[in-house]
Amino acid sequence: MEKTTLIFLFFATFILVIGVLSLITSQVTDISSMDRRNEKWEPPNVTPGKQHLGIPVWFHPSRIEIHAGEIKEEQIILKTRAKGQGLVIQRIVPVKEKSVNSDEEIPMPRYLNVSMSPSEYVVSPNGTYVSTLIIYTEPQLPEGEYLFRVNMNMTPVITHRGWITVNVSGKVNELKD
Amino acid sequence: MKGKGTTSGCMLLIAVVLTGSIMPGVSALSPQWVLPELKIDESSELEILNGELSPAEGKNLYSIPVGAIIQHSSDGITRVFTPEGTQIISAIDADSKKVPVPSAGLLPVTHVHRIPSGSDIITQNNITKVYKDEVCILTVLGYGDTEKKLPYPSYEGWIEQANNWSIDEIAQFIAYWDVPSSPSSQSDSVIFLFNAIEPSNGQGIVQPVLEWNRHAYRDWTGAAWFVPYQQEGYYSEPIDVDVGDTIKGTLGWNPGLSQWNIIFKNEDTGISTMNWSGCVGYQNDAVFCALEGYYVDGDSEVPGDTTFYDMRLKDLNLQNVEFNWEEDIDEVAEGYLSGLDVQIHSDSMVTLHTAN
Repeated sequence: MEKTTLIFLFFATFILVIGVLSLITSQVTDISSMDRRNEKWEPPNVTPGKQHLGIPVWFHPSRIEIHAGEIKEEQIILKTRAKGQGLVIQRIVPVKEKSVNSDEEIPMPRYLNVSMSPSEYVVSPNGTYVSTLIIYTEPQLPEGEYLFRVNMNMTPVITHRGWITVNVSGKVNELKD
Repeated sequence: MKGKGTTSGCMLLIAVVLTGSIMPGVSALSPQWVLPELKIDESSELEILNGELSPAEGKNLYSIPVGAIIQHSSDGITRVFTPEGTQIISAIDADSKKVPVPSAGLLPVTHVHRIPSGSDIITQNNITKVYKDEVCILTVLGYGDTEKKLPYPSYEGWIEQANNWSIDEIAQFIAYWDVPSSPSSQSDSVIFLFNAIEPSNGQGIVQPVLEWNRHAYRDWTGAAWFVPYQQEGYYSEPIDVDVGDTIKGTLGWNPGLSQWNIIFKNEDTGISTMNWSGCVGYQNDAVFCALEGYYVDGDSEVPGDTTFYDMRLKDLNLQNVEFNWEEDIDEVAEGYLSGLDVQIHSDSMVTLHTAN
């Protein structure tokens, strides 16, 4: 083999080795860029808790004890805080189960009526608004627990969902006796 | 009276959301449905709508005639025609008000329509018709799937939480939790898990925060955050944590300084990071255990279940604070994520469930 051929092979091998090493190095760099201290990565500018500050808050009872034949009123309080303003629409509906995955409503049980007054009102920031939850029962209402879902929407995008259990035990007249 | 949290959510609307445009003479696409020739009025002024286009009347609605035809165009214009085909309005989708729609995120009101309860909705190709009592009350013409689609924004905000909004006095809130399984390694979501105290006036929040993809690329870190209202917040030097590590989140009131001491500690390594607060007092506060997420599009972008345990809430006299946790799951988050559930075991233990 001639000397020039040997020199050519030597340089060709050298270049090949350099190329392979370069490829490996770049792969290692890519892998390291996936590491938690990736210098190319820009941390997203999001702040925990920030979005939550100043949003309005609703307060309502989660359980109401009542006797058949009784009428009861409870307060629903809305604190609008800094971000609460606009039209509020409140709604209460009987439901079969307390489930975030089910929107199934059922008819209002016979001898029972639950409503909210007012059902619509306009609010401003940093205010406290009181509305009334009215539970009307007739003596024929069977004992037991009746579950309701409350939906409170503030135009345009703020909502609250909660549940209220109305527990009926005994009749007013029987208790008086 | 129980305190209840609020959630960002959407109005109770039935959404008929179609993407696509269609040219006049669309009836050829659906031989069963004969549509009038739509007379587009290019000279009409483009409007910006604040209410959903609807054949019904009501607040927050932009009422259109019963039987009207809505046409969405790929150029971002929505036109409304009378049942006879005469244009009555044209609106710019991008500039119109956005409303949240479950599983779709924020959509322009031009693409969200309230229809009467009990209506039948029938879709063929790019045409949707809404019938009430066998009368067509609305026709919506979309544009083809090959054309531009409306963006579906990711979820951003508090996904689920246990809370109590009626804490009269609190001077110490300690919680432990283990670092849950990570979101998918391909996920660019940002996740926060924390216990927190916020005054009822919402002037700030103090929180030792377990962070995903916030201070380390697709990895867990922890930091002590103090966020005043309408500011970006102040956080301590983040520390590394790994899946399975036990975290101790401490919020301790210092009466001398009238400040909260916020400590995030990795119990496995013994390393902690600490911060001080301002503008959050020790009276009339709300307390939380929360899962918060940004750029979340699906179940693979949130962590596994997280249980906050051995939680201790004490007042200035180091007496236990009497309270009950309330659950709150964001209705909009439910449109993006399955398996959400807040399980309240006791005053000292709460699990935030996800699908993972």
